[in-house]
Amino acid sequence: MTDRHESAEGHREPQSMDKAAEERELQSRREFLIGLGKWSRVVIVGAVAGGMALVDTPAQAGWLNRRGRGGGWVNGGGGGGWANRRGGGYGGSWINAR
Amino acid sequence: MPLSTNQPADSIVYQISLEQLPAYRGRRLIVRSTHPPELVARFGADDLDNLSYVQLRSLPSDIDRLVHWAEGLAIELLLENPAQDFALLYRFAKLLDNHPVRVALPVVPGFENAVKLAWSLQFAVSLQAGQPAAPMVEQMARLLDDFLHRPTVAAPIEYFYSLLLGLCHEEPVNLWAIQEEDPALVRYIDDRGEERLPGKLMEADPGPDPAGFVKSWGDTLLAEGAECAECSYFAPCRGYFKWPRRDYDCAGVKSLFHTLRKAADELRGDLAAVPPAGKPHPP
Repeated sequence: MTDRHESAEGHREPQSMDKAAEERELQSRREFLIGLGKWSRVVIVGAVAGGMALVDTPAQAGWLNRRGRGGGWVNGGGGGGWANRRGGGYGGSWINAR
Repeated sequence: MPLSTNQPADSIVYQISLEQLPAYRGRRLIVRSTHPPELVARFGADDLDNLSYVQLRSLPSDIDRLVHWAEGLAIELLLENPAQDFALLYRFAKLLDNHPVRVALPVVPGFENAVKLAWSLQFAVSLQAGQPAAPMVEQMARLLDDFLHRPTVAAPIEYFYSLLLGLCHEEPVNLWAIQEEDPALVRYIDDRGEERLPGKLMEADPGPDPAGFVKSWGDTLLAEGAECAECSYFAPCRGYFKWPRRDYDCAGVKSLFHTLRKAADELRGDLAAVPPAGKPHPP
């Protein structure tokens, strides 16, 4: 999902364009890895997300800081869930995901 | 009694029972409970800001009030007897409507089927690996292969997940931290209010510098010339599998490390081969 912010002249704001471009890049990476047919879904999403937003220390990753919104991986809605995938999400498990 | 620490107070997460909440308000917390309705009743909005997740023990049945409580809050289900209790996981599927859910379970007979059920329900998994015996390592190896390669696996399993991504992106990883058993990150407050080291260190002497335990333990093993001194996986492991028994034979867990490192190298190569967005992917 990409936020659309358009100015009065109808131009998209740079931030929105950056997000859209980044999402296209992520999607392209996911599709490429899916096409290889050798990785699980969770590995693909984790690898793509991790490459775009690395965390600084193990303590900042994963579940320890979770609050459900900052983690690299969130299961939700019964569909496996890929929400919040840009916040890091490995190295320190659950505690830092909040 | 609190243990000494050189860490900033807000860098440590305290795992407490729900009854201890008043004494630990303002700290970063993991709260364990066997009575979900009490969680809902006792937590204020401010408490939630410092809550990393809640851990449900004994897999209680009265969870309906949790479904719409504290949306987004992560919930861990502690499955202490996986062979006996794994079917109870079905009743928690409704939590996924509003919560990330993880199943924590020991690596004991029956854990493999429990992990597969957890995955099928879209729950994340955290293995309490301990010092697994050879038959358990064989089952871990099968699960690792599924985690890496089975297309339908959509939820992570720790420690495999964090170790894979750390190795893939060539970032430092610490198995003690991944397992939430690094005293620099987590402390356990027992039901008497005593502060203890987390996880499998629970019975360990905390010593004067509990936050330095992992480094101290690793240094000791290296100084002794233990198996760790020659191990190419010491950096991420830091002697994790040598606790508590130093004579534990690491051959099996090394094979898991090897599989993970090989997969991480391959995954890194695949990521490097991704064409820029907008360019067609090769057939």
